[in-house]
Formats: sequence, structure tokens, C-alpha cells
Amino acid sequence: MIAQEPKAWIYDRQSRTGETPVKMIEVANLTRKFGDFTAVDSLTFNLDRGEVFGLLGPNGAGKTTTVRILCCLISKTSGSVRIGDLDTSDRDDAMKIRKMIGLVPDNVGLYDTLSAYANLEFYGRMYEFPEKQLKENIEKYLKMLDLWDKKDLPVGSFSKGMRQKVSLARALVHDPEVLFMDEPTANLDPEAAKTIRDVILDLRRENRTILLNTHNLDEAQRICNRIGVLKTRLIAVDTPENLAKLVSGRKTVILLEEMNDRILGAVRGLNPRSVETDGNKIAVGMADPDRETPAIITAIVSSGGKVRSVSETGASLEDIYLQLVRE
Amino acid sequence: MRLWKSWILAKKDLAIMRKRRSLATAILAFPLGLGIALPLLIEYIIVRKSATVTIVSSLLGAFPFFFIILSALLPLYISSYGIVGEKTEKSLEPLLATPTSDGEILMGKYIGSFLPVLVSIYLGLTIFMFLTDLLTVSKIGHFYYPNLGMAIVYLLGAPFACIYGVSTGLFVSSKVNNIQGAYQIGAFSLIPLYALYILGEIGIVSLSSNTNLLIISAGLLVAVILMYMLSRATFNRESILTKWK
Ligand SMILES: Nc1ncnc2c1ncn2[C@@H]1O[C@H](COP(=O)(O)OP(=O)(O)O)[C@@H](O)[C@H]1O
Ligand SMILES: [Mg+2]
Repeated sequence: MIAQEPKAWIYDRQSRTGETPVKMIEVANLTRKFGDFTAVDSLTFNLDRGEVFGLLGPNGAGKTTTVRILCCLISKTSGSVRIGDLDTSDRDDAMKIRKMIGLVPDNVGLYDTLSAYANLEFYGRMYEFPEKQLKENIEKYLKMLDLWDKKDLPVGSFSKGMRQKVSLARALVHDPEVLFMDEPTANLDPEAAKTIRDVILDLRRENRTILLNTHNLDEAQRICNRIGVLKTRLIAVDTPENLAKLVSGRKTVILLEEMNDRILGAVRGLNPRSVETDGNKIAVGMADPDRETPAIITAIVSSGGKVRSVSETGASLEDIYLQLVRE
Repeated sequence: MRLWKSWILAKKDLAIMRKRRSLATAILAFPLGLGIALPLLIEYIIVRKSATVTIVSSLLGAFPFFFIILSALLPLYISSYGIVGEKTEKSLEPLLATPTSDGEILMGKYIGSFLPVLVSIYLGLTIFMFLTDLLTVSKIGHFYYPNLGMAIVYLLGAPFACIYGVSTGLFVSSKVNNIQGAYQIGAFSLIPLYALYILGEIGIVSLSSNTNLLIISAGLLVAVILMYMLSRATFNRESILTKWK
């Protein structure tokens, strides 16, 4: 009896600290139509607590529609969405869900005439967040985002990046468990975008559950544990690493003193995935570059080629993304 | 319905209104101006035209109707501001994302437009009564106000007209994207009131009759209920986010 108790405690602790996965978002066969037009078609994906999931897709892919449904802002046509153990289509549940989530919408939507502080205070109160903690959180996030000394200025006087930071702070003031961010770095200057990404990475360390919409592949790759490639349907869902393996687009680029057909024939003879030439450059696509590159070099050298340099192009996920989205 | 939530929203709208100097000034200036101008007009008529007591009384009877019209006109402007403002600032989505019901948000919008207008209408009416009594007491021989007609305007006519203006403004501005447009279209909803005023001026309807004032108030109440139902139907999050332009 006594020996069993700690075990139960450990299990409980694990579930609370997220070591054992706890499902925070469960989306099954989610479909949304506008009239006859299907904006989102049979999406199925889950998020465990503490995961940062990127919905990656071009304009019009259905990212905003999906997030709005998950935030109980608009209805779904069919399928099911659960946040925590709550159902978005239940009225009472929807109210509880809105209380536990934070949203960074695609438009900042702040009150321009009010100060940054007044904006955050208003929203914190609408979230029914205790006044004392609210004041602490406003200070914490405005300081974190480098806006504390501008807290009393009207938001209308802020730059785009500053407004987006206030929007991010607004999504955080009530300490939500789950965060939805709809293209939070779109159209920002690189510095503001970096600040926002850094905050998201901090939040990831704090084990918050985050759904991030983005059309920026690099951003998704850097920030997310898992990525869902969306184009009305979910084309692929996996970790950035596994997605990269899906279609290895990595290429080895070899620069030669001189290019001729004999060399090209020797390289082709090894049957790599792809061979392209550009002047004295030869780009070879391979399934496993680490293993295959030496054989290619040997073939080039033995057919009389002189190698100047060997390098790798690594924008692999981009190739996959473009390939997936175009299909 | 949690009224305290609507109140938070209304307070926010009031804070924004205070920052918009021109808006705040207009809300105060019109009723106060009317409250001062009308008694002066009466004074002018008494002194310069040495009008009879009957003429003065009939004028006095019709003047409060001005305030009913103003009560419907001013909130039209504020509530257009309230919704069109949120629309152009795109702040409706984050607002709807908070744990607040559509009805609570709508009620907040009502309170935020209704309160400032009613307060300033009451101020204007009070000044009007005070000055009029002061200027007419020697002619009439007693204080004309307060009387039953004024009580009806105070307690029924003005508040109902005000809510009518608010609902019309809220409804129209959900369809239109600029404040001027919302205001102008909304102003059409006041045609029945203008018509009544003209009928009063040419002597077809007596606007100083208490019975008529009660009937007008009842008519406004019916209009208020209809407009509220209309704005309630328009103001639901699904259509705000997917249909409003
Ligand atoms: N309210 C609406 N009415 C009609 N079509 C809509 C509406 N909202 C979005 N859509 C359409 O649904 C598709 C997905 O839009 P959206 O979710 O905004 O995409 P994303 O955020 O990925 O750019 C687009 O083709 C868009 O035109
Ligand atoms: Mg979008």
C-alpha cells in the first residue's frame, strides 16, 4: 500500500509537468464551408501540452479560418474540435475555452486612442483576470517586450512592430494555457520579428501549448516542434526533421575546373536522384548525401575532372514545402 | 447576462469618447446650447412681441419635443462611432475572443452610447427649465416647469428616443464602413420624429398635450423593442466575422 503511493504521485506529477503527453487540442475531420466554397477540408491533428505546432501554408490556405474555429469565434461545418476536455461547439464550453486561450489575431485590432497600458488593462478585465495579477502581468510583458517606458502613449502612435508586440502582450496578460497566433511576424521589420520569435521560444520553454499560423517556412522550422502543411487540406504533418526527410531536396554542389560529357556521364552512371549543370557547376541531388558524395567525387576524379570545391545547399524543407503545396 | 462585463466595455468606450474631443464636445454642446437658446427665444418673444400668456404656454409646451429629437440624434452618432470604430480598428475579433457573450458586448455598446447622451440631455433639459422659469415667471405668474409633460419627456420620451437612436446607429453601422455614412443613413430613421414636429408646428398635432406625449413615448418604446431585436440578430459573432464588411 505504502509503496504504491509515490508511484501514483509520480504519475500525476508527470501528467502535470507534461512529461506524459496530455492532449490539449484535438481536431478531427474539421471542415468549414463558406457557401459552396470549402475553405478547410477534413483537418485532423492533435497538440500535446507544451507543443508548438505550426500551420504552414500560403495565403488562402485556411489558416485563419482554422484558428477562428478553434478559438470559438466562428462555427464549423462538420467535424469535431476539443480544447482540453472541452468541446468548441458547446455554448458553455466555448465560454470556458475562450477564458483559457490567448489569441494573436491576424490584425492587431488595438484601440488606437488608448494607451498600451489601457488596452491591456481592458482586455485583462474582459478575461476576468484578478486585478492584482493583471497589473503584475502587464508590467512583466510590457517590460519583456521593451515597451514599459511607452506604456502611457496612445497605441495609434506606435510603429507596426510595437503594435504587434502589444497584441502579443494582450494574448498573454491573462496567463492562458493555450495560445493561438495568426501570422504574428507577417509584414514586420526583421528586428521586431526576431523579438516576437524569441518570446515564442521563451513560451515554448515554459511549456505552453501554441498553435502558430505562418507562411514563413524558416520561422516554422525554427520555432515549431511539429508542422502541418496546409492547403485547404492538411498535406503533411510531422516534425521539421521528418518533413525534411520526406523528400530529400539537399543537393551537393561541385565546382569543377572544367566540365565535359565524360564527367557528366560518370556522375549519371551512379544514378543519383538528380543531376543539374550550370557552367562548371554540377548539382547532384542524393537520397543520402553523406554516403553518396565520396563515390560521386571519386567518379569525377577518375574520369579526369578537377574538383575546385564541394558544398551543400540545405534549404531542403523549402523544396518540400513548395513541392507539397504545388501538388 | 453579466452586466458588469458590459460595464467594462462601456467604460472603455467612454474613455475613448473622452479622448475624441470633437465627439465629447458635440454631445455636451447641443443639449446645453438648446437649453440656453430656447429660453432666450422665449424671452425675445415676450419682450419684443409682448406675446400673450397662451402663446407663451403653447410654445413652452412644444419645446421639450426638441429634446426628444436630439435624444435620438446624438446616440446615432456615438453608436456609429462605437461599432464602425471597432470595425475600422479591427478590434472586434480580439474582443469576441474574450469570454464574453454577444449579448453582453451589445449591451456594453448600448450603455456606452446611452449614458453620456442621456446625462447631457438631462443637463440641457434642467437648464432649459430653470432659465425658462426665471424668464417667464413674471409674465405667467407662476413657475411653468416642472409639469407633467416635462416629466413624461424626462422619464419616457427622452430615454426611449435615446435607446432608439443607439439601436439604429448600431444596426446601420454593422452595414456601413464609415461613420459619416452610418450617421446619414441612420438619420432617416428620425423622419417620423421630424414629421411629428412639423405637424405640431402647423397645428395638426399638439405636442404639448400630455396624452400625445404619452402616445409618442409608447410608439418610441415599440420602435426600441423592434430595433433591439434587429440589432441582436445582426450582432452575432458568426456574422460579424464572416459577413460584415
Ligand atoms: N467570410 C468568408 N466568406 C467567404 N470566403 C471566405 C471567408 N473567410 C475566408 N474565406 C475564404 O476561405 C479561404 C481561406 O481563408 P483564410 O482562412 O483566411 O486563409 P489564410 O489565413 O490561410 O490566408 C480563402 O480562399 C478565403 O477567401
Ligand atoms: Mg490568414
